[in-house]
Amino acid sequence: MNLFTHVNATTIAEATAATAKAGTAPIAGGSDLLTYLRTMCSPNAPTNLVNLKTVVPSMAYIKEEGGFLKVGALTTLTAIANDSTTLAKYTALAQAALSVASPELRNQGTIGGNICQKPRCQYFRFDNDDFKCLRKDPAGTCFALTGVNTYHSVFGPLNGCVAALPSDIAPVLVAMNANIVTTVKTWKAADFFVVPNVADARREQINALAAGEIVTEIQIPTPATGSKSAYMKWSFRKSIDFPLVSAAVLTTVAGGSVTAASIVLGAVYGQPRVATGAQTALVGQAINATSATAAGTAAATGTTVLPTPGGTNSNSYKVQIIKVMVQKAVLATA
Amino acid sequence: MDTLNVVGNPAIHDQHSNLILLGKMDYACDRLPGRKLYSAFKSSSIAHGAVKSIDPAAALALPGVKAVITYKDCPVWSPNIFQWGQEVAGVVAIDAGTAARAALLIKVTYDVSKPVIDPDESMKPGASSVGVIQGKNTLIANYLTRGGGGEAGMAKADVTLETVQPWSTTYQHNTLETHSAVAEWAGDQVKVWCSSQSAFNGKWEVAAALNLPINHVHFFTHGTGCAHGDKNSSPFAVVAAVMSKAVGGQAVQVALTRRDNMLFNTRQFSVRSAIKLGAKKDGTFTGIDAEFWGDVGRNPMAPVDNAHFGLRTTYTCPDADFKVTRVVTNTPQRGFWRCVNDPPGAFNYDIAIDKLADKLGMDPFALRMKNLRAPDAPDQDPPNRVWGGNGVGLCFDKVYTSSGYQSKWHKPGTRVLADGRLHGIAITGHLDSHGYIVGSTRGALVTITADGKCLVNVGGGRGSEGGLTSCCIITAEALGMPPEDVVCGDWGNTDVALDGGMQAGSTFTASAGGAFYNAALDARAKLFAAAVNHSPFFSLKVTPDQLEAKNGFVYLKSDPSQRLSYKQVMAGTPPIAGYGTGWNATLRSRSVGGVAQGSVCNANGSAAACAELAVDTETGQVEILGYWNAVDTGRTIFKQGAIKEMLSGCELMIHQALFAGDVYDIPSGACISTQFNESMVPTAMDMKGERFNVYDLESDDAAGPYGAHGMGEPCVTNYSAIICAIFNATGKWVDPEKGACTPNKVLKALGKA
Repeated sequence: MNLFTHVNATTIAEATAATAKAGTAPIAGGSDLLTYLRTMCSPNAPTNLVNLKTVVPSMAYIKEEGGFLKVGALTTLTAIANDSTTLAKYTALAQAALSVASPELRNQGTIGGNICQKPRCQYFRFDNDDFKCLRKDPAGTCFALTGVNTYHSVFGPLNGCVAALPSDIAPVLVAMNANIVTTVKTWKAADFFVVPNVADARREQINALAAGEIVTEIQIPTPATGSKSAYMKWSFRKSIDFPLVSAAVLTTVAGGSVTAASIVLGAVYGQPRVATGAQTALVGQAINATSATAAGTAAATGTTVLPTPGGTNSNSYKVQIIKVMVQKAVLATA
Repeated sequence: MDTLNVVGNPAIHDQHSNLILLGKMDYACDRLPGRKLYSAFKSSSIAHGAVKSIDPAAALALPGVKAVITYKDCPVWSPNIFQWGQEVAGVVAIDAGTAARAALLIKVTYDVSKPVIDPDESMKPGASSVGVIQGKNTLIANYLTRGGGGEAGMAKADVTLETVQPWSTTYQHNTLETHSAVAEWAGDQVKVWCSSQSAFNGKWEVAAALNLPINHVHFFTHGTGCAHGDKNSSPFAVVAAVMSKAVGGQAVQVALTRRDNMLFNTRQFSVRSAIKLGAKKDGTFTGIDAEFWGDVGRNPMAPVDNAHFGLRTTYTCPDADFKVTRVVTNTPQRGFWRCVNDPPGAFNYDIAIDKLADKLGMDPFALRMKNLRAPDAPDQDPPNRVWGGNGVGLCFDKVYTSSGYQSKWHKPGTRVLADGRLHGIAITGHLDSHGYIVGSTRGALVTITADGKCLVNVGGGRGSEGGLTSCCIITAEALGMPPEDVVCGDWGNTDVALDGGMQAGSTFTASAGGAFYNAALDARAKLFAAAVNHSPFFSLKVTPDQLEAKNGFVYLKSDPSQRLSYKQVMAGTPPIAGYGTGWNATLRSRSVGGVAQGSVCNANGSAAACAELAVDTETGQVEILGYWNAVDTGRTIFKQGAIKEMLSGCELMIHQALFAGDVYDIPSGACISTQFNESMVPTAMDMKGERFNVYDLESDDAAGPYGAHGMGEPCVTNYSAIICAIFNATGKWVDPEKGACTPNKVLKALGKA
């Protein structure tokens, strides 16, 4: 395991000051960060950790306030999945939280951590930094581009990397037009999940947070009357896995027709991918098998299957699964 | 079959499971806390070549580092590199983190050779040499011709099938505790605690590697964290002993990381085949021509030789050829595993049988039954032995009736469930190459103590559920004692027990059990000799042959009211030691079915499984709706253990069929599926235990103690039932692409990916 110091922050200001120092990172549930450190997979690993769980006032809460569902960054995924308000009105978020990993990891993992996890790629995560991938070293290579890429992007590389977004929460936040509040600013979710270029020191991130910037709260606008949301996740196993394809859908229906649709794909590209074609296909239609299938088909347009050695274990299946997940998620909002 | 009191009693628990459940089982790494050093490995970053230089200076300079050893110091390491991640050096330090960080600082340079990762490439003429066999990459393991050979059989056929099967999955089963060992020297004696399946194998291994007198090695194994063959050998015990020696004898712990475990350890073979089957129109086999290739990684001696065993022995066919070839690659070594070579072999030949059935327009189960060999028929191949007990027919019958197969089977791709998914069902089964008996080298010592109870020390390790308890059950039965009066004092301890052999190959219960059976009979005879000196037997002038024992009492056969408890007999009698060895595998221990005791026979386990499943054609996902696993135990000694073995067999078959598979980066040769989340062990949501149905069936094997033979491996073999059921559902064969039939590959077979 990488060697690191660990200090408990008592205030968010203290945490902010501490994490602004080079080689320092905040730690919440630690379910991703500690495995990253244990495997010594990166030369960029922090050497100092600042514990956010000890910050007062606590950042673990869920409340409706001012037209938003406000979720503290340290709220556990279990708490979100079990919250009655979230389940009833922000269904996709509760479903996404419930879909993460296993009960033990959901008890430990937080919503803030889920949107700040590191990329998930066998080369990036390989123990002892044996593969110098470009997310760790700008002089490196994307080994997955022509290597093992079964789990990876079907919409091409992002800044040269084909790893797919591993977060279940991220596509929901984009679909629901969430705000992500940090110690520096309030981000729109769509802007937050912009992966820095590999030349940037933040190249290992799946978001655009600046050094020392800490997520404190998630704000999700209360959906309009007639709105429903759903999150569908697909992976090889029925639990524990990271998503291989996911779809977050928010629809608003009036007079039997969709007046607004937000459809965002996860795990098929390096960041949440807004399926604009699918949204267009759905608006003005009643939600039924025909419109849902059309939305699914539209969501899967523009895909690019990655080359594979010997033609085995391709990621081509994702194209089919996008269609099905979008279709199912749309129908779930009927 | 004999009526028995203790054997098969469903109320008997594993004697040590409470230790595991309460967290009190002692594993190797639990030993010597506070006074041991820790270690980590430097492994190769190339898949093929040779070490040119190793510079440990930076590692040695790191505070806390005590020593660095290299291949020059360690007899189980080599400068010649045959796989990515091979061990070339190791660090000993004050803690595991320091050792791991120091290992990264060791600088190694190599002469690099071209690696061969793909077995198909390795087999091609002119392929680069893998480097482990002189001048070639393949080694014929065996070639067997029966009758006029396969070609003659095809000439007699009405219908022939010729099929080339794809490579089956290869994977490491990733035990919960990785390989681990703690070694400590005292003068010229070394103590080693190790997560080994075989304490005595470990003892010999350490002694041989370090050129030590055998009595200078003291080897102990208690908890193994599960072991299915890959802990039969104990190279890391040797490494720990070398490391300890390097730091003046202070205790050193070697515990593989998950990465190292996945890179170094043996795993299941990947097997492909070219199979021709010939049959009459009614399905009667006329000929088999089956050639198997096993990717053995860097281990040219890997035991893939019996890939054809089930096809060769389960069905009658007069003319046949069977051939197995080992193919080496620059990948981790294949080797002992839970049911080594039978599952991938069955994957190949069961698909071929189902393809022939499809061509004949037959129900594949009916085709199997048409050709199933009679249980009392001898092996068709030399030396043409009969089986001591052949229960494969019992197993087929059981899964057929209990699953309701007759009303559920349909032509491939023709039944749609109410939810739109496709329904599939299939049965496969086989006589297994495991379950044999290697008892002649097994020894057992039992002691009837002053309190009238029995102490046994079992020489074998605790590789899996039940072997130790089985030995106690056999002892109790043979002694006529209540099971709670037979206690296991210690196990896997080479200082206090006789060699119990390995707990592997499904051999332990029958092999070590035979030794305990004989030891118990020896002790019982001595007990009877002592009993006749006690009243009432003394006053009645009873001789030992007039006595019997049951439920903790010695009694007069002709008048059971005349009896003494064991405790009464032992009052004033010195402890009684009974000694026994197991018997040879090929000799019948009893006369069964009119065949004489002492005549030669085979002793093998067998099993059959039925898988019923649903395939979602939109997502490729397969849901197991029901799984029936019937296993011929010969005689079930430890009922609870047998049930758990069979249930775990269901899990392993689902794992192997639908989830498991190593993933290699071809250019580097690195196995990159090293982390636990990539091992794809199915979860409770992927396999619902309430859908498992397991049956222990008893063929009363004439070779084993009380009719037992091994069953731990036969019960994991028939994962082919799942593959065939997917075909029954979809009408398409899924190419597992050296892995499992994951949903992406099902979609590919359906033309949707």
